Amino acid sequence: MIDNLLIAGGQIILLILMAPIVNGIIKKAKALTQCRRGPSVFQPYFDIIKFLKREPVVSVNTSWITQLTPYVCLSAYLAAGCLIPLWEHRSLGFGDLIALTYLFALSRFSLALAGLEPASAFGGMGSSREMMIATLVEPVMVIGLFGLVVAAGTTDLKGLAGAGQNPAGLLAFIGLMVATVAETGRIPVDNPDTHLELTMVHEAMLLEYAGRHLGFLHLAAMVKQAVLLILLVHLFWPQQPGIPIALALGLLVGKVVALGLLLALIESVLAKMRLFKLPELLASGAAFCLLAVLMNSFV
Amino acid sequence: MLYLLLLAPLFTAVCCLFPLGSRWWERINVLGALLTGIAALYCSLNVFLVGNIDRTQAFLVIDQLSAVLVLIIGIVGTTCCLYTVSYLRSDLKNGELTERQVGRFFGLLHLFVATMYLAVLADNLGVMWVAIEFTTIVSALLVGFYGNKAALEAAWKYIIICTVGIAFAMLGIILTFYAARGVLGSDEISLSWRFLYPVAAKLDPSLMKLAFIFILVGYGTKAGLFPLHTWLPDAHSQAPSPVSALLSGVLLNCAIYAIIRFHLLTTMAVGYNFSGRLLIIFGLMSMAGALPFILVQKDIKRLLAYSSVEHVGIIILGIGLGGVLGYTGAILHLINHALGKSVLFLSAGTLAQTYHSKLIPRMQGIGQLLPITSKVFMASLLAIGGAPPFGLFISELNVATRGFQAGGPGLGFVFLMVIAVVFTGLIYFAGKMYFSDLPARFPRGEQFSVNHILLLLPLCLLISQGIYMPGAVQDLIAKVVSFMTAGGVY
Amino acid sequence: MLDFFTYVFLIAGFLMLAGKVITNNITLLAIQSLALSIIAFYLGLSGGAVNWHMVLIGGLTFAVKVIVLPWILYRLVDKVAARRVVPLSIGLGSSSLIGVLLVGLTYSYVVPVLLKEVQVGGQLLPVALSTVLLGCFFMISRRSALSQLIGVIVMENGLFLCGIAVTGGMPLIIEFGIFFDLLVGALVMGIMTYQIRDTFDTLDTKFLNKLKH
Repeated sequence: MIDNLLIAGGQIILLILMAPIVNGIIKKAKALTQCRRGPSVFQPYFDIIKFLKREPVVSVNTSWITQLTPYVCLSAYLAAGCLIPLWEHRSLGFGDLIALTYLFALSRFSLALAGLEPASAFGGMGSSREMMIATLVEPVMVIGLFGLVVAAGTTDLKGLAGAGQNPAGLLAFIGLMVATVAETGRIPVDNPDTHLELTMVHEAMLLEYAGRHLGFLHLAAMVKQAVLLILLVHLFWPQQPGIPIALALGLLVGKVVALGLLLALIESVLAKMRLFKLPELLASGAAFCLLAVLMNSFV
Repeated sequence: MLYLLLLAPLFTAVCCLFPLGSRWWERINVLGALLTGIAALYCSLNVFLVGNIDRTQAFLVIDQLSAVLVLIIGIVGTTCCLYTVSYLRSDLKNGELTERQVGRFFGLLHLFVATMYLAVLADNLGVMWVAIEFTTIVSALLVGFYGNKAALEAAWKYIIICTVGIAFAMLGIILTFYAARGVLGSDEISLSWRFLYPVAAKLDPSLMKLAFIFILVGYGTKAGLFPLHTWLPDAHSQAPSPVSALLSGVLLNCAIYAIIRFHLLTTMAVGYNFSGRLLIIFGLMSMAGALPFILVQKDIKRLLAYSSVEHVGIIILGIGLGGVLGYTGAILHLINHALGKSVLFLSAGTLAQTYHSKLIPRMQGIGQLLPITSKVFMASLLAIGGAPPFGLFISELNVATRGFQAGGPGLGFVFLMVIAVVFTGLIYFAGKMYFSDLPARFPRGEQFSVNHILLLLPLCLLISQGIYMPGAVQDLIAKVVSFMTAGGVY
Repeated sequence: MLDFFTYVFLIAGFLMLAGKVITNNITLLAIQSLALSIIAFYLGLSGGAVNWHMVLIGGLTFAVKVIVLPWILYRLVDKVAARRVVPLSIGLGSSSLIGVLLVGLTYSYVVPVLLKEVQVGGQLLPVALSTVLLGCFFMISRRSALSQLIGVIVMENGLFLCGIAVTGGMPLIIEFGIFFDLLVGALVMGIMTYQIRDTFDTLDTKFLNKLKH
């Protein structure tokens, strides 16, 4: 019991510390490919600390949902992160892959509600776009993960380590990469650097927040990105057991950064898609994931 | 000698590609066609009369079945090549083609004939496939030769549908190779007809069934079986008439030849009913499927093309029914249809050129405009319909008898009804064209020329087959049939 | 290793269904042919003795289908297609999903049930057959004459892989014949595409509909 609490606490601290720097490295990589110097890789830390020091301001026409949402979001993503065994395949045993998916859905749901609550135009628009994208992305994610479940024979995250290392995993990787791009709100699905009405999705829902609520929400988004990347690393490129913990965690951060650089590359190379063309992109992603399921079930 | 059959047309084709002027091209064309025709006659009669089957040559092989086809390609090919001379002269005069294109036409024509000989003579299954694919490519260029919208559409449809179809045939060949490899080993002989037939009974039946289905779909597309015949009316009607005659008369026969070979192989490997039944179904479907389109046609060449679909159906039905009568009917029909259809297309081509239109309502009073050609046209139209003094009547009678014997009264009845209705349709159109008045603006009368002799020759052969077949010819056909019923083993 | 390239082969064919831009399709065709030639090389060079037949075929595939054919197609696209985007008759999302259906059909029905006599291990045969079906579907779902040409070449790729998988390569003369065929066929179809564009002013095959019944 104490053991589990210690491991959970450690994982949470690791996630909170790791997420901003991963985001920072991605931003720096994007800037470098765009031939500018870009912000320092530690800038997200400074941003979040700045937000945490400020006072939150909330509209009088909102209810407890608005005040609760930042905490719900952050804790849901942190809990999802705790599910994934980071070292020695030691999982905390309170949920499996399906729980992970539902935790993501929980936080998305609460954020969408919170976007609607202040009854501002941008918030509602952001929520509706986010829900549309979610309707398309969640099946892709789930089917892709199920493809790997079929290969490994279990939904338990410990048993899924390295499930993507068979050749059909290539298909699953492509499909899950498409889903990751959509979930983390990166180009070509959504532009994380913009506050223009035409192109906002995630940022629109956060528009009414200020102060430490906004800080938690930004941190939640970064943790979500980190958790997704850690999940991909765990499925496709897991750690070998038997190496000391510092080295293992260092390797993990390195691999997450590598995948993050892949995301940065995708962002730099492609342009943002029109919103109504997203179903086509996500349908191709779904098709890849379906293919992976097929390959793994018939072979 | 067999190599001469390939080299002569190839050489003619290459010569025609040089810029020589139309006089020289015509002479080269005539010489090449005659040389090829004589070589073909020699090779096929060699097999029949002397019984000389060369068992040593590995690449090109001729046996009784190929000899029949070589004979047809020889007669029809030579006739068409010789007729092309005057056809292209009128096209040049009307301004449809430029002189440079005439040379290209002759070159492509002879290349086409060469590839058809290769398809029929090749001993190797794969080489036969390659040759048939080549015929598709070369004839697509010929179909689209005039370059107008309709011709390009027809050529494009033709090349796409036939290439896709033949790709499926390749799957069938791969499966056959796999089956044969288990018996004969991995070398080239696993794909050779001469070696496959003797061991056919040892081939895996379920593999051969699957292979036959793919082959039927593949080569059936090329032969024009319903429902894969959609390219046929377009291609045969938009091509220049000598090319249509070659396509209808000879190329369809090459594809049927491939189907016959595989049918014989499958019958020995699987047992009779499977491939035979499939062929009967497709044959009947082709006949019935072509019927409504014949009755509503306005374009004379499309009418003839649909009639080709129907006759291919009859041949395939005859093959499917099997037995001495079935095979005799099918082989005779193969020969007679080739002769009759080529004469039809050539004379229809002349008529269309004179009327400057292919539409039946515009071709009124053909008897007054071109007396000799129109009489030949009417006679061959009657022949294609299956009227008595011509050979097609005998072959259709054979197939019908076998149909009643083997397929029951239902099948025979359907067969006869379709033929009867098609005959009615053809007579209706023929009557409208012949027994009507010629509009005043056309000049009347026609000189008798070499072309008419060219047209009359096959027609006379047809008549002779219908009235009296000399004992020698009957023996020939009997030999081919016994070759087939024995399963293609020498 | 072999499986990896087989999957690359399948993915390349599948990605073609997910895109509308002709130049991307040609690049994917080149990638697919590259995977095919690597598979041929691998099969030739692995095992005990070097199978020169396969190596030769691999080299020929590389020369013809990876270099020559895409070059011809790129030049054709330059001359013929002003806009690089192809009109579709079945939408992109639906065609991806139908593509998955076809692959699933091959894996679940065609290979285990229809072809159970064919004892070929590994992924080569199902992937080959699904590529044939995907190529056929690609031709149906696009309305441009160029796409139909690309679809034919994809089908031939699939057939080729099928031949390699089932029989370890057909006799050499036939392989040469098939290559020559494909090359000449592609050239002829390219010429006709050019003529179609000249005559119709568009490559959209929905205008090729004058000849009916």
